[in-house]
Amino acid sequence: MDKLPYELLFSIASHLDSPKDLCSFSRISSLFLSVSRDDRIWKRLCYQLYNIKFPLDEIEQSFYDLFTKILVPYGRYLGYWKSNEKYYGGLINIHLNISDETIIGEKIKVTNGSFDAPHFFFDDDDDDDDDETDESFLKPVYTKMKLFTIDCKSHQIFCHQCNTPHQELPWIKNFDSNQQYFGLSQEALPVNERSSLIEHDHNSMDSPEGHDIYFTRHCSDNLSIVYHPLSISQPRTDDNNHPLSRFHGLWVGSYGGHGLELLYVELCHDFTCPTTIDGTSKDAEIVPNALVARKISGDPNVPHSKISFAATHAIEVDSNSPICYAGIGQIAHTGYTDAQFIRTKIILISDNTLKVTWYALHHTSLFKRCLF
Amino acid sequence: MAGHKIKLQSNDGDIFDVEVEIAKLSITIKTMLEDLSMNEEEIIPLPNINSAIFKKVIQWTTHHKDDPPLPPEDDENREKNTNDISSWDQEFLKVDQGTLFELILAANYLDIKGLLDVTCTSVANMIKGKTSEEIRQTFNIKNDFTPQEEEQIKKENEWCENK
Repeated sequence: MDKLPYELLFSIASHLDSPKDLCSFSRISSLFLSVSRDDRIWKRLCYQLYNIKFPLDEIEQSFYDLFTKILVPYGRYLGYWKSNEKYYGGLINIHLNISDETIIGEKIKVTNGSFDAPHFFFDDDDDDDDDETDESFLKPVYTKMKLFTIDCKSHQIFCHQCNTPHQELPWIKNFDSNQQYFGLSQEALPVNERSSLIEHDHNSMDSPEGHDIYFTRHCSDNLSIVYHPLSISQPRTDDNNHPLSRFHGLWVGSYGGHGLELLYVELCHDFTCPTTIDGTSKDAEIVPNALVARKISGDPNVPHSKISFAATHAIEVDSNSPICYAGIGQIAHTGYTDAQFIRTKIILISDNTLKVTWYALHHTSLFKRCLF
Repeated sequence: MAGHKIKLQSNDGDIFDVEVEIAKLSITIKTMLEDLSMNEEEIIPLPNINSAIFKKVIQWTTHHKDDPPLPPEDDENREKNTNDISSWDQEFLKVDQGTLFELILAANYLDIKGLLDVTCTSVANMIKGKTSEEIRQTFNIKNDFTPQEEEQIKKENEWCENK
């Protein structure tokens, strides 16, 4: 094998997807060492394992340095996370700022920027009789609040809330995994790991469980927040996929007096419909394909991590009307008590807009894809 | 054109009649035929390939002649590897190491991307999960590092070893 020319050894090394295999490869002999440091390999791994992609002229360091010095220690934090703050949860985006080699964690908040419906904020879910929802009153405005900045050169963590630098990562507790963990991007995760991850995404409990992947921010005795990774599916628009998979992604919706909340929407296979809807029990039904919207930010009625609504059965409509689905929606009293499912209609207006009619509430609410 | 054949000669003198469409899976041969407008009666010499390997190459290209073309190798597409080898290819690649590396060289020389991919994947699969010493033994490679160099690389690889 060591008689092969460099380019062909490179081709072989390009088929090694595990950094550990590349490390073994580099220790074979000096020829293999030089092949293993070919930056094209590391460029691919930066993308494949961490979804990090830069044109070569935008970065000063090599992709090998980017991979080994920044992404291996900190790349696992990159991406979307959900905080476990009681009821309210919240969306966290952690991203890499390559120009100064920092990793920044930001909380994304959404408020309504529309002046058309100021009354809307003071309405209660239950007595809102507004069926004539139009799109103009939902103008999501996203604000980003910096939570922390990791300086990858000095390995200092600056917390923007307690306003102090930390020498190490005292408040980033642990990824509960004995395995090497390179990257959390959903592409990088094997299917079985991804499914267990999703299972635990839905955990709204205060403390994480054994297999959870999470980190905690623990600045002082009274501030300890756990973050769970979110794997958010990309919309799929080609014909090979179920038409509902066009709606994958992050969404924002109006929740009456609670204001705007963030959700993620994903096509779920073999979705088990709740057996009690509108107070009436029926036999358990498993729907092969359902579009399920779960809350990332929640409220004291229906908190984060819970299903907000799900589209389960297509409704026949004439060809000029938007596609409609019958489905379910979850409502509850304050403190997530007496939670129950009611019948809903989900109207798919466009790839970026949908409406949900909550029959029992006589209310229709609007949802838009998050674009920020 | 179907069934139309050209003559290709291996470096040990054997002449092979190969269907043009199959031969053209090799970008090298395709270029020779199109750009150099070689006479189709002419025998095309392949100085880098012996008969045994060329037979294997023809066997592979004949089986894969109707495969959809591989996506162009640009930045978008080269990111994802498909490391699955079809069962036919697995059977085809049950050869000794020498033959496997000769196939890689031939695929590279003839510029047959699909064959190069599958042969490199096959070697990569033999490397996966092994220690460097196991890889050296598998492929009979000499360790040319001094103990100091070994220590140095070990240190450089700490990000990987100590996790």
